[in-house]
Amino acid sequence: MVKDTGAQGSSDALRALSLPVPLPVKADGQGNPVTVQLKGRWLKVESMADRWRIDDEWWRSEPVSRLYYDCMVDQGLKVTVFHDLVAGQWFLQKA
Amino acid sequence: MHVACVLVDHFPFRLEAARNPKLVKSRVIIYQHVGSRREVVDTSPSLTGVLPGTPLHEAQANCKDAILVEADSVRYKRVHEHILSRLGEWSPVVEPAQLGCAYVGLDGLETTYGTEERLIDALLRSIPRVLEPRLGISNGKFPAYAAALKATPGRAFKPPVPVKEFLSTFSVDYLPVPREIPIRLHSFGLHTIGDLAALPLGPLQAQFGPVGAKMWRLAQGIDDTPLAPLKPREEVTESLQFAIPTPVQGQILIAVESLLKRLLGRPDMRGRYARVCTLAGNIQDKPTWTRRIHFRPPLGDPRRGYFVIRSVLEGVTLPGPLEDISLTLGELTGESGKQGSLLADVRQRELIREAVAQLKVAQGHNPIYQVREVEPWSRIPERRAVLMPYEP
Repeated sequence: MVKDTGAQGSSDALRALSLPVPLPVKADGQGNPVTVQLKGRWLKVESMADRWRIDDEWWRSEPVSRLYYDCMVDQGLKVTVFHDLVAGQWFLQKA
Repeated sequence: MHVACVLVDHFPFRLEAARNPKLVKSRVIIYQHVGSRREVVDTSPSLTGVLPGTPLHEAQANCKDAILVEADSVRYKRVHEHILSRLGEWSPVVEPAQLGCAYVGLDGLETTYGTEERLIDALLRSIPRVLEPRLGISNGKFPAYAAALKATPGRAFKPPVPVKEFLSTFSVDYLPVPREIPIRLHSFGLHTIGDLAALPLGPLQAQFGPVGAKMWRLAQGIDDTPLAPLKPREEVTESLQFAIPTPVQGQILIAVESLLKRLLGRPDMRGRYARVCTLAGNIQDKPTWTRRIHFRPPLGDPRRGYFVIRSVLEGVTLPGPLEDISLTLGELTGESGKQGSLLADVRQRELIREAVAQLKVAQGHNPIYQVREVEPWSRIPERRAVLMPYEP
């Protein structure tokens, strides 16, 4: 890890970090994820460690409204997924 | 802001026709290899309906009698840079646009050159007459470009002020916006800039966002985009011509050795080091051959340079006998020494700085990023931090 030199950067060179990635997910009747597809394989959600919702940026033409799930899949692998309630699509939230 | 647009349309074709006059009255398609595909770069003016970027086989299907010429991109770029350099002798503000097009700032130059006519004449004379340059003058880049399109070859055109009416008859295809935007404008029944100018700003901005606002302002004749002057690149070049075109590597290496000694022996290269060298050579009836070589650490010793270049050329098969060879040293830097430091921090910083500089030269941009917190309190994870280019 290098120290932050404090040098000024230019905003046109910024790159996003931890952008969500669209993810194929099968959900049950209540909308909870049952299986997720990672690296071409469908993995069963063995348990759900946490669930929370965020609603933000309501003033924008596309507000943020997401239902997050911390899931344990496939022998202890933890993934964070969310259901985008505006777009109606599932995403993998990268750390 | 007083701006001139210098325009040579069909720039690649005109250069090829200058080299081979038989092409002047022919239907010509100039193409280049893009990966495994071949696509059109330019055509002769008589060949309408074939756009740059069209796959070559599609273009040939529509114009079976067209002569095919492989693009010599290195030569086109070299001539374009030479023109920019000549224009820079008359104005300190020259902004390059696409090949064959440049914008020149004219503010404050009348006092130096007397009259605008003298300045226009000087700008036109900067470009070989065989390329049929045209000049447009106006109060912004886009109106100046439109004026250049209307000018006759070898002459300048200055539209009446305000320019809104002059621009109204131009197709929306000429707007400096992404390619898909004019397609959408046509689908809305907006075919000319005058059609855009008649609309209020709101609907255009709602439909197209910032691009819509930009198009509306251009349609009103308002273009206050500042000129971005060309940053001069410091390079030194030496070249020599072979008595007989040669593919023999031994002879080429002897020439390279001689050019390196000449370049690094120049008084203005004393204490200077080069991070990159470009070899180029003309081959008859073929595009210019070129090879770029990076030096790490920067080069100051001709013997080391010869050794590196020799090892690179050993694996290279030339496409034909070279008629001449030129060697350009670029990305010049000051003395590059390895000063030891007692402090580990300083040593590490210097190593990182040198590594980042070398990567910038090799890749054309800085590929090293660092994480910077932006909104660490945000509930939306991707808003919390961004990647920023690392500047040591």
